[in-house]
Amino acid sequence: MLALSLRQTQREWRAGPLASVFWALTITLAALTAVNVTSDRAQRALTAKAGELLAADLVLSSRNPISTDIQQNATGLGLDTAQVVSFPSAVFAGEDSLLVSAKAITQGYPLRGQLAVSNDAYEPGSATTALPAAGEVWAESRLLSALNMQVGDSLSVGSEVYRLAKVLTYEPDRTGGFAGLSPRLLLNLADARLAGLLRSQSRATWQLLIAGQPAALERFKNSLNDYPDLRIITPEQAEAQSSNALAQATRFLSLAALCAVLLGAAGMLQAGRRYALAQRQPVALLRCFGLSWSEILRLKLWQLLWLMLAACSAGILLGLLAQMLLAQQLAALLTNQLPGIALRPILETLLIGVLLLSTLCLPRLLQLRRLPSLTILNEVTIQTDRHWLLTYLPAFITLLGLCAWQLDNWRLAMIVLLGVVVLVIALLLVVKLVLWLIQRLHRVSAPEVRLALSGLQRHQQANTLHMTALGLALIALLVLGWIRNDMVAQWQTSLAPDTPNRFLINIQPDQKPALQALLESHDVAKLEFGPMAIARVIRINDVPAAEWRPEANPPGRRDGTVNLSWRADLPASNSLTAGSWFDPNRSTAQISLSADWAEALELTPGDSMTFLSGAQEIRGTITSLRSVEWDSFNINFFILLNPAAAADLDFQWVASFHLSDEAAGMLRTVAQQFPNITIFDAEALVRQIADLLAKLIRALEIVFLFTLAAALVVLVNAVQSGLSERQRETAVLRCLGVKRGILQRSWWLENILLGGLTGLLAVIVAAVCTWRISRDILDISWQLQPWLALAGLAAGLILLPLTTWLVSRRSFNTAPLAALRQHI
Amino acid sequence: MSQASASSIPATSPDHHPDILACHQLEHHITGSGHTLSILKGIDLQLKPGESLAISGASGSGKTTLLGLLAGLDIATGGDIQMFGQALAKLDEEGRAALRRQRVGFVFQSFQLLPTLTALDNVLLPLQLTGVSEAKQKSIAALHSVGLAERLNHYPSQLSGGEQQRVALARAFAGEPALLFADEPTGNLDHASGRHIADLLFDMNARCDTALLLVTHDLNMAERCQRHLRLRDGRLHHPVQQAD
Ligand SMILES: Nc1ncnc2c1ncn2[C@@H]1O[C@H](COP(=O)(O)OP(=O)(O)O)[C@@H](O)[C@H]1O
Ligand SMILES: [Mg+2]
Repeated sequence: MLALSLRQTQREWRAGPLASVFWALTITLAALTAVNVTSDRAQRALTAKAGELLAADLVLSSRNPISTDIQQNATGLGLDTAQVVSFPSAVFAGEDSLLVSAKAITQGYPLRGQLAVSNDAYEPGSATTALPAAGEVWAESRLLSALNMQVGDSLSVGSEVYRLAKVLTYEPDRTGGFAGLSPRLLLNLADARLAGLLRSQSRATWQLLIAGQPAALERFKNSLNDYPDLRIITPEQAEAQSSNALAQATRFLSLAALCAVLLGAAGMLQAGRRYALAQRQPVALLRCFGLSWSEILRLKLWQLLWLMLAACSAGILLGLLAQMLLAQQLAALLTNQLPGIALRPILETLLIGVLLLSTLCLPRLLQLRRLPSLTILNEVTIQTDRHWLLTYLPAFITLLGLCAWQLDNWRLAMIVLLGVVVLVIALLLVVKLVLWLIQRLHRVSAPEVRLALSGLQRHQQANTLHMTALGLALIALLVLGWIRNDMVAQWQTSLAPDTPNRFLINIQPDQKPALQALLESHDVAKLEFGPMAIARVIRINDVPAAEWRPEANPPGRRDGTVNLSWRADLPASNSLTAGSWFDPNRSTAQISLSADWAEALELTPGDSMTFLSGAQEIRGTITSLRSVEWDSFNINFFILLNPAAAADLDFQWVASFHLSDEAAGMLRTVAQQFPNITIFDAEALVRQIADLLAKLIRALEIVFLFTLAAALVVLVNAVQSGLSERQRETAVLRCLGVKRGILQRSWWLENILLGGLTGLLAVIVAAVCTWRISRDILDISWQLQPWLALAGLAAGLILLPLTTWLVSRRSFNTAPLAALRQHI
Repeated sequence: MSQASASSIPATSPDHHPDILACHQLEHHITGSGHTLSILKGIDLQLKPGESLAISGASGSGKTTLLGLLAGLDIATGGDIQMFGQALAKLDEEGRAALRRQRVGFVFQSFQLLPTLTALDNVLLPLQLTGVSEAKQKSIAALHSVGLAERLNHYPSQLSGGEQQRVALARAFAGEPALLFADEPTGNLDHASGRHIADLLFDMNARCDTALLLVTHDLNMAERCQRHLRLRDGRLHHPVQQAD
């Protein structure tokens, strides 16, 4: 039976439907393997890092030194502790100086993970448990190259001179953001005190690292309620932040893979139907010859098993190849190496393959049991589609489960799947309507046109199938393409070539005119200044700030210290989500909050806030909420005031601008003329993000190819299933003496009409779909894309006639008799 | 037109071999959309091993229906059928299929070759599946005997109608069945190919000692069987003897 079924599978392969099932399954599994193996690797890379991300199990963070009571309390509970103070500082070596991000640490750091160091700027690092000794500093290689230094050289920081003892190659808790922009300098906390680095340091962040048993940690956390100014950071929070981009990337890839999977499933349903139809004759015949149903079923099951083995291996192999490319792109989102390929996602794919085949194709085959063997004698076609619930329910359940698993959301899966079902039904209805309308246009005289129009009507069933299949495929492709373009457009506006890449802070008001003149003389782009005052939130709705929603955890900080800014107009990268913008005619203080910040504190327009800045107290009413594009690299603030309210505040200016690489030398002049100003260089970060987005797009395009392949399978299937009817008709018409030229022209006309209509429908549906998806799922702005719409239309106009022609061109060339004989 | 035998005449053969196929008072009605169509109204016939029986009749007279019922492909609405001594009515579809296994062959009007299989595979597949030993040798031999030794690996679409029906004959006889049902085997063929197929059919029938139930509207062919009955108005009649 084994050998026989294998042989029979080979024999049936030639006929088409079985091969179609194979291709549909292979493509589906390849898309799933590629995306799932990749996101599994990325996920494991993240989890492995999560604990290390903080270098501790818990971190307390504050703008002020953390009370020693807290540390003693932790030690008393049997927890390990270490202190970390981060602050910007300047390093001098001979004539040169460099802004560094200094980190002073005590014994024990890091509590989780390990540092890695090397002895040379260009050597790979190795893990170490040592820390900089007294009189020593460690620095990142960037510092060595910037200052042209070697390990062993001396440099001065504050009032002391230190020996550069090691090159720091890795610290577990290194984060991005502004702190990550200047090179790291690691030194001993005692040394930093000695050098006077922490005196008068307004920009230091004091952290207490804590690690130990979960129970002790829990007790320790509960004891912190007495210190509301402290910010508590858990590994989960740290992970949530760093994995955000990756999560979004993998979610989007999942969505793209899902498109391929749904199309592939449609292909399998179609091909399964064709296969079952083609099996009616052999099954009825074998029943005549005395085979029992169970024998026939066993033969078919074996055949499906062979098919599955072939498709699973081909699909997984193809998927693994594709994931190599994908992983290459996604690795850029992670700092460290991706872990290897795990067996689990592959086994999952295998299981899905079995499930898909057995719920999409098997039910139809099982229905052949009802087929009376008598059909072989009188050739009445027996409708096997009657039990559509039995046929489609298993498929629906499997696909629902698959969607839910892939999207990790049952509700969304249900919406997606029902959406597809509704879409198919709507397409069917619209297509029928359009065909009906065309029929009304019957009074054209040219025979080709008449034949084409009546052809649309005559082949209604086949045409409806073609249009629906092509429409579905085009919609999937258009939706993906559309979203890709929306994303690219979004990224391009936020990362235009002149995206601000330098930031200046601590500009004193009297320095601004001179600085502005200097910057403008050096041809900087997108120069923008903003005023900034440091303030404390003292009351919210006249309740002391600490008592307002104490459990809330707004982005940024809630330890009371905030940066205030003010301006008359709404910033370009912001948009209002509630309330109205500042009314210049009102003299009272008006406040505009970033929506995410307000949401975290449950604040809405109408609430009041009171700030203390210097000696001045400002009580204002929240009049609007803004959504802020934090990734736009413009200066943005959580809190904005109307200018009148801030008239008397002590403030500094902050500036952002784009500086080309050639002009970067002018920063030295800035630093010399205005030594108090702090310069942040975001160029590397901007580049890194641009690079990352480019890789993401490429990853998307790889998955897109699978969708395209699945779409082609669907289309070819649709065309093939109407083929024999069409061939017979052509043959009959030719026998009746209709000229071949007229037949061919009318045929082209019919298919072009059909394709154009389908393209138009697909573009409309895709536009509506992407509009919803962009807004509700991906949170990006939607744009009308005329070129894509035209491409969709053209694809319909070309793809349908071309595929149909490629598949059926032989029917025009075979002699009519031969065509008829095949169908006796 | 036969008036000689108004009532249906039992097609009895004289000797006492057990019947390989027999039916008694077979009736078949089809009810559809309120109407009841009586296709068969009381048919009696017997077929002994090795015997050949032709049933002729006009198109639409119910020949195919009768053949399908006798072969157990459908269930009659009345009367009983015995095949190989077993009452078909007592068997379910599986049981009837098992009865046909290795003992019954078919030749159809429209050949019914599987388009995805070569001539050889078309003959071979049922033998393999029903577990006939030395299936391959038997298949090749059968194709030899219908004169298609050169065409073993050709697909049905590469064969003429006559050749396709010869493959079907090979398929029917390769398993050396005890009983062969043939439904208008020459119905779709031109005169010459039809004759050739008929020659082959009777030749192989004689050689294999197979009982043959032939259903046809071709009186010439029907005359070549040992017995010949006409189906008209749902009943079997002896045909009018044609004066030579
Ligand atoms: N399943 C069916 N439903 C309705 N009518 C049928 C069915 N099967 C056969 N008939 C009718 O019964 C009559 C006999 O058919 P058939 O046995 O095929 O005749 P023959 O083979 O002699 O040409 C025909 O009129 C045919 O239309
Ligand atoms: Mg018939």
